[in-house]
Amino acid sequence: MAKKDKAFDASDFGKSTRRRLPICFCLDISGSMAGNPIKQLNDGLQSFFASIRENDETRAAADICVVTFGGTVDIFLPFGKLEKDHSIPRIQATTSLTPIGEGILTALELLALRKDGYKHLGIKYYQPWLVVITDGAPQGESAIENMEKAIDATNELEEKGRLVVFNIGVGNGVDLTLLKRLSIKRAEPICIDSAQFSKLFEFLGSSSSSIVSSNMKEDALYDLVDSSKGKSVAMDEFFKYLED
Amino acid sequence: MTESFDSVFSLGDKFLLEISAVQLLFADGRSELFFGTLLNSEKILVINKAFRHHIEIISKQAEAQEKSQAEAITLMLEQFNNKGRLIESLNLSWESFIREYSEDRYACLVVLEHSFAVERIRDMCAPAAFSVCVVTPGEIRPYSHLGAFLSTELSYSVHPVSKTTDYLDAKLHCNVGDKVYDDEGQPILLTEKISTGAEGIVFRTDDPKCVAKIYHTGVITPLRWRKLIHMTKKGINAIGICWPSKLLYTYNKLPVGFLMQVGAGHTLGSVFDGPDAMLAEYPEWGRLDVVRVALRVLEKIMYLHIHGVIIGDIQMKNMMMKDTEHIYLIDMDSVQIEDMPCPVGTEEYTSPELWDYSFSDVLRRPVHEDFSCAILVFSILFCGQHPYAQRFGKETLREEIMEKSFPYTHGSSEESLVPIGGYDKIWDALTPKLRDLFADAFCKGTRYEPVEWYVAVLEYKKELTEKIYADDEAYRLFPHTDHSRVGTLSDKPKMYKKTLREAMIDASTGGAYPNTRTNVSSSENLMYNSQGKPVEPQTAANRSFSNHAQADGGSSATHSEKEPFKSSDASKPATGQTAKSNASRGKPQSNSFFMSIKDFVNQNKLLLLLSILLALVFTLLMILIGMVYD
Repeated sequence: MAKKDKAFDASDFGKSTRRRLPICFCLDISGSMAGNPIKQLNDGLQSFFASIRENDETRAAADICVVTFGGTVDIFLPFGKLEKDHSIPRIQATTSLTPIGEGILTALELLALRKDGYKHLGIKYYQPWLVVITDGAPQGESAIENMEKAIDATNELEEKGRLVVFNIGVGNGVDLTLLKRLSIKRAEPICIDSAQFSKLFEFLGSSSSSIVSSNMKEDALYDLVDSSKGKSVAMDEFFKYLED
Repeated sequence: MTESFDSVFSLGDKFLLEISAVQLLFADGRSELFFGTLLNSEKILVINKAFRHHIEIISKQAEAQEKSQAEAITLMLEQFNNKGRLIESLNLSWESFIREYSEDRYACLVVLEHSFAVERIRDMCAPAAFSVCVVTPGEIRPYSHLGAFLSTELSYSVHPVSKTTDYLDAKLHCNVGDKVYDDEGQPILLTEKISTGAEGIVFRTDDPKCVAKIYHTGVITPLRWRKLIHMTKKGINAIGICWPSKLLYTYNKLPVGFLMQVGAGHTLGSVFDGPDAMLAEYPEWGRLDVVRVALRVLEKIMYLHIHGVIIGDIQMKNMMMKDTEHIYLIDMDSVQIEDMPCPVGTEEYTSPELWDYSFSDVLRRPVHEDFSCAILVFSILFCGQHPYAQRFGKETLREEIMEKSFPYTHGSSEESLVPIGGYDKIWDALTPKLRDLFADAFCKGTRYEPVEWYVAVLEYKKELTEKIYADDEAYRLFPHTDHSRVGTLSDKPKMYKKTLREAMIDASTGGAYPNTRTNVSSSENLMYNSQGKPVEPQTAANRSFSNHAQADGGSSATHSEKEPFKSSDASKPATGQTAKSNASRGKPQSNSFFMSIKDFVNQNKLLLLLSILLALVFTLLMILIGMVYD
């Protein structure tokens, strides 16, 4: 273990005593996302960051990183606490291919490194989230092979309860069979239309605040329909419950 | 009434008093007869050490009426004392007090039904020879021995209303300017939105002392409303406890929320959040200040416990602080009262026995509350740090708590497991008593009652106030730790890095010069090139997944680590992923000049020191020469 490793710069993690929730977005910015989809993705991401910042609990706890893939894999936003006045630039779509596997492997390594950092410094954390959003299928050299490796790595972590996976497909061009295999706990990938990005990010924002402030169990993140909710009753019926 | 009193007096010679029973007797006018008869019939009263603290806490928190009751109780004790018929046990906790008298057949325990005292005895599961006299609002019930009492009067079981998840159909949205109404139809104007939470919105009202919590649609369940009805009836009226005082309805009597005392300041969660947050907001604070906060919080918790309330969701988020003397308990509508559970809680503060239950299915017990209190006291004294947070720990906090892996007692021979940031020094600065309590609580799982924490923290406060420590550092918020300098915790304090990513990029270029940082955001040193275009390797160790796949002819060597989350060598991915960072979280560029000077100074410390020394020697020489020539 990296016990004697001194590579972690504590200032990069902040001195907060809160339990962190590391979230790594792994976003498809390949050619097919150009135009309206990338705009909506950006809008959704911006409002997600805004909602994280708005809430005292999530602002201090959420530790967010954005990896993009489209031709190359880039770290668009490195890990770190979101300051109140910090603005996040908009993502540009590329005109190239979809190295989704490489993107995921990079995200996993970044998450692993971040966790090592927490452990080194003694920071509490929740199990990390990997949010993969794609509108296509793996493309490029060794893309399928890397995707298989990404699936293996992700499944293994998810099975041990060390990773929460959000596998999200946008539009009709998604290779759903491959995307589905990315998670062993989620029955079906989350499929959305690019117009639903804002709703998706709203859901991710409220889920993160449920984890951080309401002690929601991580497994509940795989159950999208809230089955625990009862039915709405009228006042007369409601007061019947209160008769002792 | 007198009949039942007579049967009580024949129960024993010594009467062991529990505070809430005595309070009830004083509140409803039965005290004169009860204690008067005891006094005249040569009986002895026995109290434990906690009793005096409880009286004091009541006088401190409560409104006038309850305060005068507390005074009357003290006077009554004085009367017995003057006649030499008051025994003050040296035992502090209720449990040790009960054990002390468990074999005394002439003792009689005076307790309130369903009080913490009763439930604690029940959980002790120990036989006792003393008799019991149970005080209830209407009567006093005598039992010849404890067993008979415990088997006859059971603890609450969860009220069936807790099971339903149905909720009141109310599609209304209250807003600023709207009026809501209390039980008597008196209008209350909502004047300003204070905060929006998961359950509802808190508004200021036309009464500056009160705020209204108005629930969102779908939040008012039968459990919630029944609890609020019982809470307002109970009418806890104490400083800093934001207890529901009135129920609120729409004009057509639809339940919408409740009225409560206004809180002020920040949540303890945001105040007690490590050195940066605390030093920024309270630079003048020392150990004494956190100790004060801990005491004020414990007093409020103990006040509620005296009144039979289990708070349940104890955590710093549910407390607010204006200053060290003004603390508020908020979110009181979730507490457990009578047979209605507290449906919420967090893993960090909840006793592990409860983890696998749904919180709305169980009634918590005093021992569960003790666990939460221990975590809370620790976290306050340690500026927000959780007792089980540690370095090189298990995969989850859950495992650490289950295994009672408390890092502070692991000796200092090996590399400390205590989180980086000077928390080990806070530990060293505590009193031995507090260290013992924490060690027992978190290594062995001993559950101390809040009053035991209270007294231990009081002792700490006394030592701090009387300045008995020779070491000045012991009074500082973070003893022997300087949090004012950037990067003090790092092994490489010279590098003013904002992000790990930047650290990694710098490491790969082998340079630690400040200007590399500004280059980061503009440089186009991309690594991943799935189209097979040449990449710009920064070092020999440079790797990219696609690159490797190519070199190895598509073999599986690309990413063969079985457990990517266990990358043991932190520098490996650092050199392997020199991707560009579009968003620099670094300080604005205007700072970089200042930073470069700072860095220069830092890196050339030795040189600067040498030159200063040289100059000094030179001047000395000159002076000497001058003297010789004189």
